[in-house]
Amino acid sequence: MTRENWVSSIFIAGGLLLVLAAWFGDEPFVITLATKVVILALAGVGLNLALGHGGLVSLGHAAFFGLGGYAMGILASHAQSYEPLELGFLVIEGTKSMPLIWLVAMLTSALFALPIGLLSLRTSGVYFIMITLAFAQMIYYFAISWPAYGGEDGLSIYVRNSFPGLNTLDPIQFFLVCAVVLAICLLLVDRLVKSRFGMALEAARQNPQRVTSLGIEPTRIKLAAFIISAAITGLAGALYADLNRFISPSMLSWQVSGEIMIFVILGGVARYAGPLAGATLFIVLEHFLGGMTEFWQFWLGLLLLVVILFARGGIMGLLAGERRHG
Amino acid sequence: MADNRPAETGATMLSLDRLTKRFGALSANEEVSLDLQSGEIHALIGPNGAGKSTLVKQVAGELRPDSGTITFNGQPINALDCAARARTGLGRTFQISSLIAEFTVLQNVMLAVQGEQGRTYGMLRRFSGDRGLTDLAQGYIAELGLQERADIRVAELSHGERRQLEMAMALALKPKALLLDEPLAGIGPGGSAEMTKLLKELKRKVPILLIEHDMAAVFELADRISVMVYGRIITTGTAEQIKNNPQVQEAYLGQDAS
Repeated sequence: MTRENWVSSIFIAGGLLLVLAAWFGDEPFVITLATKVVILALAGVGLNLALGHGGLVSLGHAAFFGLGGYAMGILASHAQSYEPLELGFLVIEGTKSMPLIWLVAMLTSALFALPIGLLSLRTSGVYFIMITLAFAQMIYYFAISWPAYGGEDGLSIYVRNSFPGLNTLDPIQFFLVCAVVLAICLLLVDRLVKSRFGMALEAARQNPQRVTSLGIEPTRIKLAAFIISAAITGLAGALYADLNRFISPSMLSWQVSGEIMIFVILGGVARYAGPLAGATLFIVLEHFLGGMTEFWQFWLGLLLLVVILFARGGIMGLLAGERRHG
Repeated sequence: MADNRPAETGATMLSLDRLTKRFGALSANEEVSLDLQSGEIHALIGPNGAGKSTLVKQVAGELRPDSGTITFNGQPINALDCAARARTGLGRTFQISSLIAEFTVLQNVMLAVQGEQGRTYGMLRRFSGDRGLTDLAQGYIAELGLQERADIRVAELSHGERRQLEMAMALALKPKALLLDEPLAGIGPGGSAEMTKLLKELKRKVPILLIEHDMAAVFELADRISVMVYGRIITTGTAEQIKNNPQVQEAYLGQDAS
């Protein structure tokens, strides 16, 4: 096992132990906090694929996070009002089933990522950042001015959606659902970045001209990665909406895009457990520093500055040393 | 995908017909016509700024010609982009080494094999353990004498080794023709002799369009030489013919004498 794997394993085991302790100690708040970390980490895992491995610095991933949330909100609200969603000739029944909602959330995000990616990938660098941001802002303002699902005020879902055989209202059970989803996504993404596709993506990030001369189209590879990345972040959005039982346009705001990016950079770009480490640190800081001072984001900014200047590999880089390929 | 049977000697693999490329008032290539027969090395020489690089870029697909056609293996390829041209079997090396810097030698060549096989969207199988890639890649690496450096990262390779790696990657594409942009530049006398030997063997399998500054190597290797000056090809002929051509001596070789 490499040092990075060790560090990641110890970190994950530590987190699980903490949650276990909270369960025995009857501290549902800690479990809910841990669930939040897991879900935000999942959003980061999605972005990490595009940003870390594909070099696609998207400042628009809140769009996919929010779209996943709205997919959940729309389906669940129709289920709770027993009014099917009518789109002309198409009539869709609402649903409270998590797996179905996840599927719709991922497909919705992927469907939006296709045109966004196609257009954004014509640019690079700062322009790519700006164009992804612009798309996310478009969707954000659309959500604010769309009265059907709460508009600016958002929309509450009264009962958490269901998962076959589980009581999702029990914090530990919902935590486990989220943790398993994260674990599966982490494993799949790890597989993906080490596959033929992942190596082509890595190469396309480093030297697109060379990749082209090998008969591989770098833009197509990056587009595929962008879409998969969006789907994962969309799935996280659906879970996040379920955690809060509430959706609102704020899920689509550019601050969320920035926060997801902070998880990735803080934890370590293109690191397997980077987003998890980053999201953990972020939530811990938000919780504890936020309890002490209103200006906790000042300290977060300072920390981010230090990481970017002195520890380019983020937390994982600091603990696990230099990154190796293959 | 690529069929690598050696074609009959004398069949035209690549032909450029009156290619013209202008940048504003500057005419970088003016009605350039040349062809590449299977079994031969056709060298393109000319002073700096003659328009050789512009020509290479048009053949590879990085630049669109203003007029003229490029025919490769019997098919017009003007409309194809770089990646599509590579897939039809047009391999190339770059004037300035262009490699995947964070990858090892082996991984670079494996990526080339993957490009040749055309299966890039496999997402679940591990790349590094993929025998369909490693075995072939090791073969090409051995052909270039890099087997002991297979697990070294490109960033740690010497300049000459990078050149060799470029060749290994070009070969892994099973090209039907090779476009080599200064393969001997900066690899030292020993490496140069090695590479010359390799190219001599290689041309029997794959015809080579060679852009090169090393005159001794060009005269030793090339079956035919075209001389480009100010964007035009002023003459094409054997090494002897070129050496004795007064126009060439004046335009190009004469520079050294003066």
